[in-house]
Order: sequence, then structure tokens, then C-alpha cells
Amino acid sequence: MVKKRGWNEQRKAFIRSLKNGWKIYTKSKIGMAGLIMIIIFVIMAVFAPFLTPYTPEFKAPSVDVIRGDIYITNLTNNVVWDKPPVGIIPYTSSQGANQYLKAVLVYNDQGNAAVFNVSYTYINNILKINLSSPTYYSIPKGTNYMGQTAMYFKYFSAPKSIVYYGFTNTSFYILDNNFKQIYNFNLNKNIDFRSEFYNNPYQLPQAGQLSAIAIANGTEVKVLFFYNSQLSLNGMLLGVVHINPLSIVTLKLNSSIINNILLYINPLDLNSTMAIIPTKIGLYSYVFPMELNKTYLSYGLNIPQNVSKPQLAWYLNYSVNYNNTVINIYPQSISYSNNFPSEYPNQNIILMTSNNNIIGINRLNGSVMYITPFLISNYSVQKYTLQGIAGNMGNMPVAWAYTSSKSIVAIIDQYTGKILGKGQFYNIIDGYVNSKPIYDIGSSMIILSTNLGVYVFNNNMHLNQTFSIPGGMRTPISGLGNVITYQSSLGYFYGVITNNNKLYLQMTLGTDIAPLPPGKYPSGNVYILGTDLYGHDIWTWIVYGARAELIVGLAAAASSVLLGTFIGLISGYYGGLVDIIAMRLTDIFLSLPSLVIMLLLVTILGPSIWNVILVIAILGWSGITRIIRAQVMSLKSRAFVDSARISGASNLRIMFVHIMPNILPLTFLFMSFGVSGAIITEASLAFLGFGDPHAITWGMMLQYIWTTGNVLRAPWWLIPPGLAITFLSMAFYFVGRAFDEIINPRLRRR
Amino acid sequence: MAGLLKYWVMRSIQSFITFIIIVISLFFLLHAFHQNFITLLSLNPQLTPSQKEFVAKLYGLNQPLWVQFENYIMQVFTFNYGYSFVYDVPVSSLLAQTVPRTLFLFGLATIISYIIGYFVGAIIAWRRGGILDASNVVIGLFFYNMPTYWVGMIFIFIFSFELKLFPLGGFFDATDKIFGWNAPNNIFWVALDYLWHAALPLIVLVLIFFAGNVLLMRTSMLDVIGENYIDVAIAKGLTEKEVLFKHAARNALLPLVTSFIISMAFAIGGGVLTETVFSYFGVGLLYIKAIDSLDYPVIEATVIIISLLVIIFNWIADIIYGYLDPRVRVE
Repeated sequence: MVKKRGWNEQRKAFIRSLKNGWKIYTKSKIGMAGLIMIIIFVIMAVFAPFLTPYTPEFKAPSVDVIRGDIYITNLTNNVVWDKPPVGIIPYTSSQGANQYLKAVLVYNDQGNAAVFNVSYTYINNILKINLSSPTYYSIPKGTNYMGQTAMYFKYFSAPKSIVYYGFTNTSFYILDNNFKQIYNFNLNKNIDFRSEFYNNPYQLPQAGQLSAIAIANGTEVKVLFFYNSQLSLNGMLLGVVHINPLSIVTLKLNSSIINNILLYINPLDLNSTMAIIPTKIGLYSYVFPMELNKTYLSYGLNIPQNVSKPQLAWYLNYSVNYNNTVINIYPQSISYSNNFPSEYPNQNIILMTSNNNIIGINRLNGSVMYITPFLISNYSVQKYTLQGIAGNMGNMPVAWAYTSSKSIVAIIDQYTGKILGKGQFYNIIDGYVNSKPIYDIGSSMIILSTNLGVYVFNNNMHLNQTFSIPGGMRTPISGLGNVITYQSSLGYFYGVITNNNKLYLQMTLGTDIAPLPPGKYPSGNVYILGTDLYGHDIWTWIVYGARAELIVGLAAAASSVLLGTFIGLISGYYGGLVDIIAMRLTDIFLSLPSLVIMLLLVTILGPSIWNVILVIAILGWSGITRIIRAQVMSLKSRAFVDSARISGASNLRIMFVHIMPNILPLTFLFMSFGVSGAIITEASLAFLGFGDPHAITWGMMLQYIWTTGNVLRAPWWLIPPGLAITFLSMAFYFVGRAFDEIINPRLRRR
Repeated sequence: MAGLLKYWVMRSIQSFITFIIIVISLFFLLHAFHQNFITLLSLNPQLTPSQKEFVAKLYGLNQPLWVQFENYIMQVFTFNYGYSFVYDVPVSSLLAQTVPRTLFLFGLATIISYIIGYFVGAIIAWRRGGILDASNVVIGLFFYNMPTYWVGMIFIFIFSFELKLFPLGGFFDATDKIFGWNAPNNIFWVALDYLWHAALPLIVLVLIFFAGNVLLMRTSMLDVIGENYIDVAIAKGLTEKEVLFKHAARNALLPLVTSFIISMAFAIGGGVLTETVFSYFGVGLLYIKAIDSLDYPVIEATVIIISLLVIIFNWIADIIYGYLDPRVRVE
């Protein structure tokens, strides 16, 4: 009975003091302002899904994100093409780090070509592409080149200008950059083999380097070479060598004699009617193409200035006996690294057989490493062709298979021939892949074009971007493809010829999504505060971030204050040795540089949100212990404590039932300031990179903008998180100040 | 006087003990750090066992704990922290370069913000109430609650990038142009260059901390103003300015002084953020880079040095406070 009354009275007293406190609190303008701000943030945290049009995982669609320019021009304006254009080639400036797209060549298989020069202007902070009116050219028609109706057009950089060349069935033409013919020759019969080799089609041959084109039919071979020299036509030295077929031709540069190009000719005993011509000259080694049934690989020795006689490494017959199975191989499916064998001795050559098997061949000794079927489970194809890409980085061939209406693309492990991992293939649902996947070394992206659009994957087949091409994309004529993809210092280019005979050129700024300023966008989305680098809506992140901030702030402050209060309570009440130890401990923790030690602890413990809370608590409790202790010590000597002790209360009971409630106001005060500090500390930890990477907090937003280098570019991304942190922290600080005035009456009068 | 001496001795002993305890606890912390590192290393399949052994030997982790502890104590007291992994120079030389820069920046920032606090706080307290008072509170608190690095980023954006008044970062660049002039290579211009680079971080730091100082000075002034001798001074007929600055403010200086010294201590530790944003290569940035690249000798050294500096400054603050305020001496 006595107890009940006691409780009732205590409760009433408590409520009375609360009401009193509230009256005083409402008088303080700062306090009310702080409280209102806190309520706003709590509403944001609780009702986040209702306040935001998107979720935090939402990413702006690529339609909004492409901040580059799209340029579409009609290719058939004022021009008569004998047949619609099918091929496209980029011409880039060759100035090292400042490479950019300079011109685009468009051609058909009838010898018509057009060159557009590309220029750039900045309008409204977007780089706009501009194409000049094209220069047109037609070379005499020819047909039946290697059984196809295609005719190749190519160019490469000669010392002084672009040079184009094209073939008909019996002729070879070289044109200068105004399409003026500067050279041509004919073969007596139809050309049935051709190969080109140069160091880098987009770069000028360096002094001493050779570029060559070889054209052959069954009985004669002409090799044309271009050499960077000042002495000749357009800076090129042209030579023609007439050689016997069936010879392995190697070209050596005698660097001391500029005009002298020596040939080593090794007769090879072959059963073939085809000529064998090197497709590549590097510094020291040569790779020979596959002709219809043979492949040769040979190496030079690694002695500069002195290319020695190549050795025949091995050759592979088309009909290969492997474990008594005869395998037939198609010629176009070779995939190998373009680098020298000595650099990548472990890479295999990957071929596809006619019955859809993958063969891996050890490039060093020609042994067959594996034959595996190209299968993707639960997917049956009517017919597929394996296309490989030279895996330069990460040893990655990419294969694609198509039916008449679907395509699948997969990454093949070149050591086993199996499809890499789970889900590392992609099922193209709309349209089908119609040209060879391209691996862009600079950005490690795989670019796939279908008849409807372009897909960009990163190197585990994760879809990065897609672009749809109005009208659909023209099917390419052959291995050259009809997509140009090029990464330059200005941006990333895509160029295609559409089925509507339009040239579609698209440029994205960089390969990542740029942060979008606030506004309305083509997809119909409105981003109130814009987006960040990855396309996340900033307003959504701010609102959802309130949750993590409030949780971290309150939890960290609560743990730190409770710990400090507890230690202060015990130390103040018991006194003596406990007190001395506790105070020394407090001193020690007080004199630690908090941020420094917090970083060290988070590195050891790992960056998770609970570790952050723990670490803030560990380094924060010492601030209040002394004050609590002082308060406890003064309360200890009061009358009510004595009376409690007399009536037999245990120490614990006195501490927690009698003394504690009198300290609670102080505790709440420190809680308030504690939350304010905890929020800023958490933001600091996040900014330095030690926060929880999975949590959405305002500190992480600031970290992202800092580490992705967008500080100077995106003020709509920079300002809101900082303001949010400031206001939330200020809110709790104001509440604390107002509370301070309640507790310390002498502050009020000031 | 005996009370003062006793106080000093007690405080010195306390500081020393604190230091020892911190050094010992840091040993265990860093030991855990090293063990973490070794565990991480052993997960890397490309490392041969002999390489892992080499690293273990490098840290002396294959020696008994007591021996490691001895080595550690030796290191701490002789300031020999070995060689940095990343920079390949002795750590002490790195510290010798970076510590002065940090001290320069934060010392200057603290001094300036305290000077501002002194004058503004005194004036505000003298003219009680009024718009200056209230606005100071709000504006000051607004800046105090801002994340320092965010303010830094905004300042860089506005003043370095848009207006091009200040450099984008760093602490010194012989090739930089100060306001467009090419600095000739003499000491005056070099000093000016240092100042120019330090200007933005200074402004940011002062902006954030001045409010607290103003408030501190204000509180202390209000205490002093209520004292008798102020009334006597006014009655004597001294001008308002004289009373304010010669009598009242000087007496209110005491808490400010001790707070100043302690601020110095913590500014060094917390300077990590400012230095990161401005790429100002002081101790803080050195520490961050060391943690990011797991450069253990540097991490050890910076943590110990910063803790040492904090303890020393606290000790100095205690000594000065004991001298200035007689009330503390009776312990």
C-alpha cells in the first residue's frame, strides 16, 4: 500500500516537472526551432517511401543519362549510292592522349564511299558533334571478291594524310584523303586472298616501321609496303614485290639502308594452292593468317635491329585428328591475342569447329588443349557461329551465338573453353547480334551491336548501358562490322548505319553516367535535386539517409552517454579506489585524439555501421563522466540518500532508483549534444572512406562526390548532404541548448 | 607556493602515467593491427610462404610478445620508427616534414579564431543582448555544426575554381602563380606562397571554430562583469573602452587561454579532414594515406606522435592553469 502511493506520487511529480520543463522549453526560440527541425527529419525518415518518387536503388535510365550528343544525318541526301551504304570506319586523330574522332568513312560494296569530317562545339555544357558535308567517291565497280559481294574500303594514316584503299576483284587502289587515286595495280586473275598488316591502323607508322598489304591469287602475290620515309609520294615508299606463292614471306627492315627492304623467303613444302602471306609484322614476330586449311605461326628472335629468319612453329590442319575425332574448322573464327607470344605465353588460340565445339590450342607448341561443346544450358540454337575477340586484358574471349531471332553472348574461359561462371552470358531478347563483339581495351567494356541497338557490358557480362538505334542497325557485310566504337579523351563514340540509310553517331561523355543537374528529362522523370554519378536521385537519398543518420546518431550518442553515465555514477558513488581508477581511465580516454584512434579501430574492426557506433561510443564516453561524477558526489551527501540507506536500500538501489533519476536531465542534455556530435563524426568517418559502404548516409554521399572527382562539377550533389548534416546536427544542438537553460536556471537570465 | 608545486608535480606524474598507459595500449592495438595484416596476407594465394615469413619477421611477429614489446618501447622513446613502405624514407624524416606544416596551419588557425573570439566575445558581452548577440549565436552554431570538409569543398568550388583566387590544394608549389604573378625564388615569395596555400584551409577552420570561442569568452566575460572591480573602474571614470579591454577582458582571459592550449592539441588530431580536402600534406593527410595504403611504420609513428602532442599540450595547459588560477592548487 505504501509503495503504491509512493509510485503514484512520484509519477505525478514527474509529470508535473515535465509540464514545467515544457513550459520553460517552449519559451526558448532556439529550442523550438531545434525541435521542429528534428520532427521534420523524423518524418522524413519514417515516411521516406511516401516522400520520394523513387527508391534508393533507382538509377536514371540511359535515355536521361547520355549527356553527350546524338547526330543523325541522312546518307542519301543529294547522293546517288549504287547500293545503300553498309560499312563505317572511324578516323581518329593520332595525337596520343588527345585522340578523338576526326572523320567517319561510310561505304558500300560497290565502291562508293563518303567521308564526313567531325567537329565539336560546347553548347549548354554539352559537347555537340557536327559533321561536315561529305566528300564522295566512287571507284570502278567490281564483283565477286572472295565469293562475297563485299568490297573493302579501308584507310590508314600515312605520314602526311589519310590514305584510303579499296579493292575490286582484280584491282587495288590507293586514294589520298580527297579520294584522289594515287596508286593502283591489277592482278591478272581474281584476287582470292588478301591480307593487310600494319602496326596500328590508327597511328602513323613510326620511323622504321613497315606497313604492308599483300594481295594474292593462286599464282602471284603482290606485296605493297608503306614505309615512313620522306622520300616518296605522300611520305610513303611504295614497293611491290612479286613473289612465288607457297613461300613464307618475311620482311625485314634494314634500318641502316632506308630505301632497302630485304626479303627473306623461305620455301615451304606445302600441299596447297594458296599463298601464305604474313598478316602482321610486329617488331619481332609474325603471325600468319589462316588460309583455307592451314595456319602458320612463326617467331622471330627478340633481338632488335636484327630480325632473323623465322621458324615455323606449327601448323594446324583443318582436319585435325584429336582423339580420333575429325574436326572441321571454319576460317573466320580464329581468336588470339594480338600481342607477341613471348608476352603472353599462356594464352591459347581459340577456334570454333563446324559442329559447334570450341578448340583451344596452345600457342607455343600447337598442341590441342581442349575441345568442349559450346553449350548454354536450356538453350538450343539452330545455328551458331563462334566469334572471338582477342583477349588482351584478362584473357577473355567473348563468343556469341545466334539463331534467326535470338542471340546469346558469353564469355569463355580460354583455358578450359567453358563458359565463365554463372550468368556470364546474356540473352538478347530484342533483335539479334549481327556483328562481332568488340572488346574495348581502354574501358574494359564489351560492346555488342544487334540489329536494334547497342549493348555495352562490363567484363563480367553485366549490362552497363544500352542504346536503341531508330530504324535498326544494318547488318554488316562481314567481319568489319558496322559499329564504330571508340573511346577518346572527349568521350565514347558509337556510330552505326541504320536501316533507314542514316548515319547515327552518338557520343557519351566518358564511359560513366554523368551526374545530372535537377530538372525534367527525356524519360519523363523529374529529378528535384538531380542525380549523382551513378544515376541515383539525390532527393531520395537525402530522405532515406535520414534513417541511417538518426539511427546512428541516436544509438552512438545513447551508448556513449550511457557508458559515461554509468562509469560516472559508480565512480562518484563508491569513491575510493574505484573512483581513482575510473578517473584515470577517463583522463586517458579524454586525452586521446579521437578521430585518429577511431580510424585505426575501424580499420581493425571493419567498416560496418555497428562498428562505427561502437567506435564513437568508445571514444565519446569520457567527455561526460567527470560532470556526472561531480553531480553524483554532491547528491550522495543529500538527505534523501541517507534516508534511503537507513531504510535499508542496497547500494545498487540507491544508485539506480534514487540518484539516477536526478542525473537523468543531465544525461538527456548530453544525449542531445552527443547526437549532434555523433552525426558529424559519422559523416567524417564516412567521408574518409571508413564508413559502412552499404549504408545510405549523407556522409557517404559526400564521400562519393569526393572520390569520383565531381566536387567541381555537381553543386546540386555537393550541397544537399552537407546542408542536411548541418541542420540535423544543429537541431539537436539547439535542443540541447534549450534543455541546458532548463537545467541550469542561471543561463536563463542571460 | 607549495600548493602550486604540489599541483604541478601531481599533474606531471599523471600526464606521464597517462602517456605510458596510452603507449602500452597502443602497442596492443597495433599488434592486433599487424595480426590482421598477417591474416590478410595469408589469404593471398600468390604469396609464397617465404614471403609471408619475411613480412612476419619484418614486424618481429615471430618473436615472443615480450621481446616485441621491448622493441616497441625502444622505438617510441628513440623516435626511430623505421622506414615507410610507401615512400621508402625514414619515417622520422616524413614526420619532420609534416609536423611543422600541421602545427603551422592549426596553430595559426587556433590563434586567429581565439583572437576573434577574444574581441568579439568581449564586445558582445559588454553590450548585452541585441542583434549581434543573437545572430552570433545562430551563425556561429550554423558553422560549428557544418562538416568541416564540406565547407572546405564548397570554398574550393567557389574561391579556387570559380573565382580562381586561391590554389586548388597542396601546401606549396614552386611553379604556382600567386594571384597571377610568377613567384621569384626568394624567401619572401616562398613564405607568401606558403601563406597563400594555407589561406583557404585557415579561413575554413576559423569560420568553424570562432563561434565557440566567442561564446566561451562571452560566458567568462559575463562572470567578470558582475564583479566589483568593474563597478569601481566605471565609477573612477575610465572610458568604456579602457574598462572593457584593459580590465574586464583581461580577467576573462583565463578560461580562454587554457581552452586555447587544449584546442591546439585536438586540432592536430582532428585536422585529418581539413588536410584531406585541401590536400595539405601535414600529419593528418600522412596518416590517412598511410592507413589507406597500410603503411604500418607510418601509422604507428603518427598515432604515437599525435597522442604525444595531445598529452604534452594538455600538460602545458594544466601547468599554466595551475599558475593562473589559484583555486585549483588546493587539491
